[in-house]
Amino acid sequence: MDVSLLFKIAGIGILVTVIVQMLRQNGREELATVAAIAGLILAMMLVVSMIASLLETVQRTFSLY
Amino acid sequence: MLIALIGSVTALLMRTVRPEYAVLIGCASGAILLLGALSQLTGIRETMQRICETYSVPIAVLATVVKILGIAYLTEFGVNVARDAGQQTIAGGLLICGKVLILSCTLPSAAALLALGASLIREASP
Amino acid sequence: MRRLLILGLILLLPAMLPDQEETREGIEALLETVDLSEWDDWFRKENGEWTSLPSEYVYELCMTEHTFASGLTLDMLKARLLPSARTAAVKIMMLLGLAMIGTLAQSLSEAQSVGETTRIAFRICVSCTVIGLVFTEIRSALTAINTVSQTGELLLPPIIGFLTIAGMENTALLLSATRSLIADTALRLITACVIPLAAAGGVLSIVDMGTERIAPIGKLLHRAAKWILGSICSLFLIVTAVRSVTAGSADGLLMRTTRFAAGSIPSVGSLLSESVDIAFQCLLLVKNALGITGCILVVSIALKPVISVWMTRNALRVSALLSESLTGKPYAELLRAAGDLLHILILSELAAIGMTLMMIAPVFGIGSYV
Repeated sequence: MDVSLLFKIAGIGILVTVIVQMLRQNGREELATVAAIAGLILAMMLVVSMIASLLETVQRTFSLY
Repeated sequence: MLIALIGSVTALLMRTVRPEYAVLIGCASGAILLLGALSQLTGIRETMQRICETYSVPIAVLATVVKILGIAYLTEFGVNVARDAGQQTIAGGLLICGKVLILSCTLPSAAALLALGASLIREASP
Repeated sequence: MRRLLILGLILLLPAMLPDQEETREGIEALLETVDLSEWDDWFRKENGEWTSLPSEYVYELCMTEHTFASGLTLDMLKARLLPSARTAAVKIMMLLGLAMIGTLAQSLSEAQSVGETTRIAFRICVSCTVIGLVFTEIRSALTAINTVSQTGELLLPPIIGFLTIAGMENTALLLSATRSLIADTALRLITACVIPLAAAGGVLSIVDMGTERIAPIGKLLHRAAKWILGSICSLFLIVTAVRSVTAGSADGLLMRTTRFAAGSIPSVGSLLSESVDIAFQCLLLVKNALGITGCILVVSIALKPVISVWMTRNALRVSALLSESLTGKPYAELLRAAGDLLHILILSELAAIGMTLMMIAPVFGIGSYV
């Protein structure tokens, strides 16, 4: 829950960029698009899980109602 | 703080290559910062309950105030994320939603007030 | 006149006894004619605070050299003031805390997006709390005024009965006339005009959302309520003062002629006039004692609500002062408006008590002309 997550997302981003570049050079356009979308979904899942834990913490801390 | 610095620089880096990741990184760093702030406030609930019981303050008022605070901050966060992504419409929609929720939190107290005023008028003019 | 002579004859019998005995018997005989059981019941029911029950206190006043101030000791005041002060301090903290959270939340979010709504929402919350506080005080003030009115109504029958027996009918009539003036006109005006006006003005000032347009109307209403209260009190003072002077002098004249007539009866004139003198002294003693006890009854019963409202008003004023430096103008104005509303409540309660005390005042005025 700290800087490692940011680096993970950045790492996924860079990885996806490299993979897309390679696939484009090989001429596989649709595979490149699929890989990009897959990378995005992976990163988003990480972020969404973090936001879910955030919301749960907020609800737990401020559960005066 | 360190997280904010790293987050913003990484987002800037990503913006040139893959813009969508910049939004995600911004979102994630904001969430990390918020979690860090919240972890400092862990004992607040018990403290507030104890204060309310000791001094016989109606806890509903404090609960409403805290709820409004939470909704306001979360709405702010979401609106900023949406604006970062360049989606003004989503930001505007979230803003309206947040405002409506905040105002609806104050409805019970306003209704109780009206009831109190009506009973007072009934008492004063027999 | 006849009753006075009979009384004089009763006193004539143990004419050889020293004066003290005669006075004591005269006082006891007079006190038997007065029935103070209703006062005792009401005193007990309303939890009035005094050293003894009204009937016993009248006896004490007549018999012994009772100093007036020994009843309202500092201990009683302290016992009443300290709990109210504690609740007032709690209220101050709560109000300040709310105002501070409001300003804090405002500064957290910018004005563009959610900040404006948060400001309005916090204003609504704090206004609701303050208005709820104020409404409970208004309700207690209304009940307090009703209690004072009922106390005044209860006060009169024994006093009027005693005065009629003693032959001071003018003052008795004056008392009942003043009583109806208070109950029908003055107090009803206060509860129907002054307090609702002040309440409306206070609520408007409190609910003003920073538009600065509603607050002046609230201030105007507040000023109108104060003016009406002032004019009611002045009118009442004028009317009662004029009436009581005429009634007091009429009764004084009556008593002086009685004494003169008793003194001019040949052969038993001196003895009779002495007993009549003693009878008059006893009358005056009992009358003053009844008057003082009546005033004490009113004050001791009405003391508690006045003190509690006063404490809440102080709490609001102090938090207004403090929040001016901590939070800012809007919340300070809110709290100050609430304090002003309570100020009018205190003034109207004090007016009710003052009018009831002035109703009893002619009772004391008779003796000065004898």
